[in-house]
Amino acid sequence: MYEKHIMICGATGCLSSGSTKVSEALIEELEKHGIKDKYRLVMSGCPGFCEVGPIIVIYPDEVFYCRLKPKDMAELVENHLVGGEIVERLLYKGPDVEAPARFYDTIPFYAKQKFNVLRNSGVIDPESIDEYIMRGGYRALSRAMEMEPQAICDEVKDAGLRGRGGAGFPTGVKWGFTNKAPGPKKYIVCNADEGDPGAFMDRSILEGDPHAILEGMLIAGRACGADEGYIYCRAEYPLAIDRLKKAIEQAKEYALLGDNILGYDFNFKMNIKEGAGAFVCGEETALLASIEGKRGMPRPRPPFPAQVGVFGKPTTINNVETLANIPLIVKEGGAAEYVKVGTEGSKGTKVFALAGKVRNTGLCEVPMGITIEEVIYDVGGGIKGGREFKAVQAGGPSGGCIPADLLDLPIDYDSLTKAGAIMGSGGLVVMDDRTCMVDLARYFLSFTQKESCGKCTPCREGTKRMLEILDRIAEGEGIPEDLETLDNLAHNIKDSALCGLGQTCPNPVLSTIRYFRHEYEEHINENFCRSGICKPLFNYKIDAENCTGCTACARACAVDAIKGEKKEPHEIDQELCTRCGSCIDKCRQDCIMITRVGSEADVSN
Amino acid sequence: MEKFIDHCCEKCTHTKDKPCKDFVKCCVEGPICHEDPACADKRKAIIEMVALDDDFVIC
Amino acid sequence: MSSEAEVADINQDIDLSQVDSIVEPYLGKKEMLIPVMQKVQEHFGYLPRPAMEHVARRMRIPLSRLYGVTTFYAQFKMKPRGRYIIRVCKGTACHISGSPKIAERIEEILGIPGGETTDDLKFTLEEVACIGACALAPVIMINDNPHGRLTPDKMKEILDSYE
Repeated sequence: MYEKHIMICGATGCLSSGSTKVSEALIEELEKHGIKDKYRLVMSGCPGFCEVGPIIVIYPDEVFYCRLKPKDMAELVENHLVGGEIVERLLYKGPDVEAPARFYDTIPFYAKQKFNVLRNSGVIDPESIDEYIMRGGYRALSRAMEMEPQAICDEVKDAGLRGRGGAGFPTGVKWGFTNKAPGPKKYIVCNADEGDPGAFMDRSILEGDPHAILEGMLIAGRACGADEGYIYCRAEYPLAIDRLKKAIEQAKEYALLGDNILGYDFNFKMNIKEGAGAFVCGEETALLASIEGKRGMPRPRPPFPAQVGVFGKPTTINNVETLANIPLIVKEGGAAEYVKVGTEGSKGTKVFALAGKVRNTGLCEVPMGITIEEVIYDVGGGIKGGREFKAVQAGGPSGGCIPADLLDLPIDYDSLTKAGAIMGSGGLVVMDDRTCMVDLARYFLSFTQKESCGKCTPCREGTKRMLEILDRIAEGEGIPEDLETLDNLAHNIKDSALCGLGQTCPNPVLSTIRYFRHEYEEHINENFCRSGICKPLFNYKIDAENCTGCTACARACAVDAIKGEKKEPHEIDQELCTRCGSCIDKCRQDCIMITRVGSEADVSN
Repeated sequence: MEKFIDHCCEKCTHTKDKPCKDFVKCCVEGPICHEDPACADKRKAIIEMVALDDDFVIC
Repeated sequence: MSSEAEVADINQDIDLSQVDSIVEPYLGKKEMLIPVMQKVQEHFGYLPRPAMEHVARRMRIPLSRLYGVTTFYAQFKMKPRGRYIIRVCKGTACHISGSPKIAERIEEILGIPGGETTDDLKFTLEEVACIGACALAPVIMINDNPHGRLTPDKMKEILDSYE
């Protein structure tokens, strides 16, 4: 028996902020005190709050320590583990709490969350199948083995589960198609090619609870009559792949994979395929081509993968998060519980990767129907540095932005689509007044342009032409007709492109024009980028009244464009300035402003 | 018995080649194929090693 | 940047028996081409032309098709790469937090554009779509080490710390 369980977040976010060194320091301290055996150390899955990583949660005390450094470990061991006193200094502190907060019940980031898919993340050792089983794992599979395949499809359909990868197609209906397709050989494919820049939900699920994906796929296999599965995972996710491999080995050892699973006449073989870096492979027909060892190019549908899928056989393709929902629905009494959360048309929860200019970046799982405002202000803690909220991009390069006056929009499939965004895979990137919407549209389009596979003309050529126009606008060379041309091209591409990538890639342009037309017009007609992003369209200027002459900006300037005596207001030489923005990051008085080129008027910071 | 897959005693009939249908339930609530409090305790011991709190186990 | 001549020189030293042992288990399994090429690249650091030709022969796949596949996927590199691979995250969160300025500064310091390798084969500068450490934006990875919350003026020191 262990006295306490120490869960150290071993997910990519915390690893990047140094959780390995923290863990090493912790072990060293425990050994120094000779008490290492009393405690169980687990490199756990992600508790979501990446912003304050590295994170350690101590159970059963339920104390959440954050922003840890290796040197904090001596105090943590001595005071908390040995002395039994909570180390207040290392608890969560923030403008949204009055006193240092201990955990779920008191940290606002967690208050509105509902853990379905992330139920085990951070709670179990992701490399232990026993712990997954203790948490009710593989019970849904056991139950599914006693059910008729079509009954499983119907149950998933009735629970209202819709695909979490983008389009939101009802999962149970999809399974039904594959189940009814003729032929003895069928496949289940897990789409873990999470490519949306700014989205990392699927990776966290794979890293934190890999068996949930295996169980979801096995149930899908039972429901569709498939006996082989592929997990197509980005090669950039080495930890996720490693965890999956271990999970597969354990499941084989436990007779949960292989032949005669759980003693039933049901076999299932699981394969992992590593992606090789092509965004378009997230599109299902492209993904199938890639599994077959070909260039990942989409093909027209029909035939749909449910009829003609991988190696020409009927195939069901589900996204990671969709599959992680399955055990919850299919377990005894699960469906009835499941439908209690969410809205009429969108049941259950959705995991979002909250990033950008929001105070609490990280992973959150919220019930469908929650408003954008609640996610950004209650879960996300508002905008970083107290700046002004401008918009949030939902759905990555296939989605759209949602502006401030739609903050009360409920998050569900239909409301988001109506607003010109999509649920997508779940990236929410928050933007403040320092984000230029023209640049944002250009950024997404340059991404999709580069990732366009080149097979169909609308996407290959159309995105190129659109990007040229956006480049021109950002360079200050835009002409008034550009907006109409963009709109025209966008609709043509949407109507005629071959696959989902092409059909959705104009969305960021359309939605930024819809909600931020004035910014485009300002770029085109007034040669001004008020956000200070499009370099030819603004100048930096130091507000002489507020400048204290601290010299921080001058020291940061790589081209020595900032001149001025110590303790005297500084000035920027516009000829030398490259508008790299190093100075603005360093200014403590917030007195570096963005002005129009060649003008003193219309000053904003 | 260190892992759920290990046999609790000779009476356990579950093998990889001939798995029990109740295996998953048996891990946490077993033994099912025979009655022996000592075997039940072995399962409890595995759980107690890793359960974070009283709500950890979900049946 | 390595010249064509240098690349040719390097290619002469390719030990094809290594390629054989990689390709052996996959003979007759054309669908395994991508994993095979991933293993070849893992071994050599890039895909030398003689190795590609050899795989094509052994797997009975036309070289043109193999070339088509390897050039389709961003992961595959046809030129030798540096000891340290710098991956600048181009995810959305990193972009709006200033990753373009970070990339620009690295390009200035190393004197190479994105996608290229320094003459001494020390650094290769690449982009990556998102490494998923959005909380630390902007982020770069140098080999397996992430560096987060970057500003342009930190870059010199970080690059200098790699021997």
